[in-house]
Amino acid sequence: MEKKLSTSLKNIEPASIIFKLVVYLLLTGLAFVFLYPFLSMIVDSFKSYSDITNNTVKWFPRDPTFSNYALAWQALEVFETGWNSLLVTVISTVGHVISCSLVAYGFARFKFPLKNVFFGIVILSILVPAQTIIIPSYITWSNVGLDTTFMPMILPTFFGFGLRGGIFIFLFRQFFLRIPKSLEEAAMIDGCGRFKTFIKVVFPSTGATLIVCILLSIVWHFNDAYEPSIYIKSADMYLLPQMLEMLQSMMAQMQNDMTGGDTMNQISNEVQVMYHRGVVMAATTVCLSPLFIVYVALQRKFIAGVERSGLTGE
Amino acid sequence: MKLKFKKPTITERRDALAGLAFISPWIIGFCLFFAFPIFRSIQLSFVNVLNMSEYEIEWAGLQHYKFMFREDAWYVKHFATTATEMLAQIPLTNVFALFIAILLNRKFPGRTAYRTIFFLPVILGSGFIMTQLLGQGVQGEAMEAAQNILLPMEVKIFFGAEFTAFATDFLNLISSILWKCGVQIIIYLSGLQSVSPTLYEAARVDSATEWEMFWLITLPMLTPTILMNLIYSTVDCFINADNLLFRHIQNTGFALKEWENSAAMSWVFFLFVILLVAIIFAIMRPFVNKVKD
Repeated sequence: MEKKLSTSLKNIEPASIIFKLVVYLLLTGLAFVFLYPFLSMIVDSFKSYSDITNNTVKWFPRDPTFSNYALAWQALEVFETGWNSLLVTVISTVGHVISCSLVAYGFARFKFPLKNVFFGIVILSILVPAQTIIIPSYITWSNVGLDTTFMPMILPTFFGFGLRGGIFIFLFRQFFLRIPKSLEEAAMIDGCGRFKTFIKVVFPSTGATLIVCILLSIVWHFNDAYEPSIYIKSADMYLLPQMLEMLQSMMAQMQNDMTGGDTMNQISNEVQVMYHRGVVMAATTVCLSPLFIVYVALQRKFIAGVERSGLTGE
Repeated sequence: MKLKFKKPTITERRDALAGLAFISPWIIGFCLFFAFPIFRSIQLSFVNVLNMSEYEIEWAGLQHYKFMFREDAWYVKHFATTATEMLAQIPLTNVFALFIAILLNRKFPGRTAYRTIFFLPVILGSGFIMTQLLGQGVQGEAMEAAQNILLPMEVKIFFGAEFTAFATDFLNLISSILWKCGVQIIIYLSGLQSVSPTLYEAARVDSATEWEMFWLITLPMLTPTILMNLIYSTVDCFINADNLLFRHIQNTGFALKEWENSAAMSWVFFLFVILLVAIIFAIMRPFVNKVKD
């Protein structure tokens, strides 16, 4: 297409120009739909109460303010909850990378009895959602006395399970199936054992696939609110999404108090002026920003990795 | 088949042992975090629990399976809603994802920027935080803005109310689907890139149009990817925790403490999804095999 266009640049075909224009228009339109929530979130997070309640102010806050962020920062208790979130996310991601790459290598390179059955179960484990087995899991964890810790989220990741662990096994396996065996053979001739070969030669070559897995694992763990909402009960162990939900339900509660109740008192009025939609948006921005930073940092490699990760099955 | 019964040589046995050693963490995990909870969950759906902490149980037969259809006022209703939503969403997400992937797969200036934007929902949109953000009605605003550009007042008046309502519904549907097709776009893109360019070159020599090339080359070559994506979409819809049915199931379990009913409910829905995956597989299989040959 491009070649055609560049060679025929002298006698430009109007049809092809129109076609390109249509493609750009479509993509821009769709991109707008994708970006709109983020843009709107960021703009709203800088609005003061008077701007939020003023419908004529949309994209350019009349009196932009940072106080929303200060309030959101306090309400979320960013240092405590953020630390919890960071802890769970990082440890789980490390667990996924270690266990899933090892297991995937076993599936990709060796022949052993029941291999296909086991791999079928790996695929099945992707299919079974956490919700289906949450009740017995919860009962078991509470019997062991670990139901109010981070363990139910962290421990399974070190065994190839946890949040969509099966997908990572699948991705790593697709990669290992495609790399030539000669490198490993060379390492083994040089006296490396199987495990040492894996650590020294195979794992360092995973590159793009590793990036994809790390990024997805980080995002999924950081974003997950389902399992934490089941296991984590005490406020000092809350994760960021939970805290955000608290903040929002608090807002909704205040809205109800304001409109529905006949006890419209001065205090709740003041509180509502303070904690408005702008604060929630600021809090959401704060929660999303680590993911955004990770995405921007890894974006190029991520896209390249996805394109080459053999996701297509084969 | 014959090979299986041959006595393994020493190297083969060593190979098998090494393989098992590599997957041993997974086997432990499978027993602890998968097989056991699944067994318990199935068991729960057939028994009455007398004492939760000591796990005293008595056999209850199909009682809990009957409950959801006969006594539970909401289960069937939520099941129907969720299932229709799934059935509508799976093909639509795939059509859109394929469409966007094909657009993104063309070489044009600014492609990287567009890709970055379209992958954003994969990164940020898959989770809870985004659901919360979209739940604030932000998406509705976006569609309103888009509608005013696409369907100015004059057009609306010209075509009448019926068309406008239809167009509005359609746009709303698109907006809800667009946010769910991030991963599918990625999978389609990688599928598109594995189609050999020589096929297109040969077709171009035979003066095929873009349209013909799409139907005769792109689509048939993509069938394995399409199968993969259909199954992924089904699973994704299914494990999406904010569908009505799952909320109902969770409420039954955790709020009402009717663990047994809750387990039975989730297994019935799971069977439905497995059936759906099997049907998709059965339909797509002949096409996929054709491509491989």
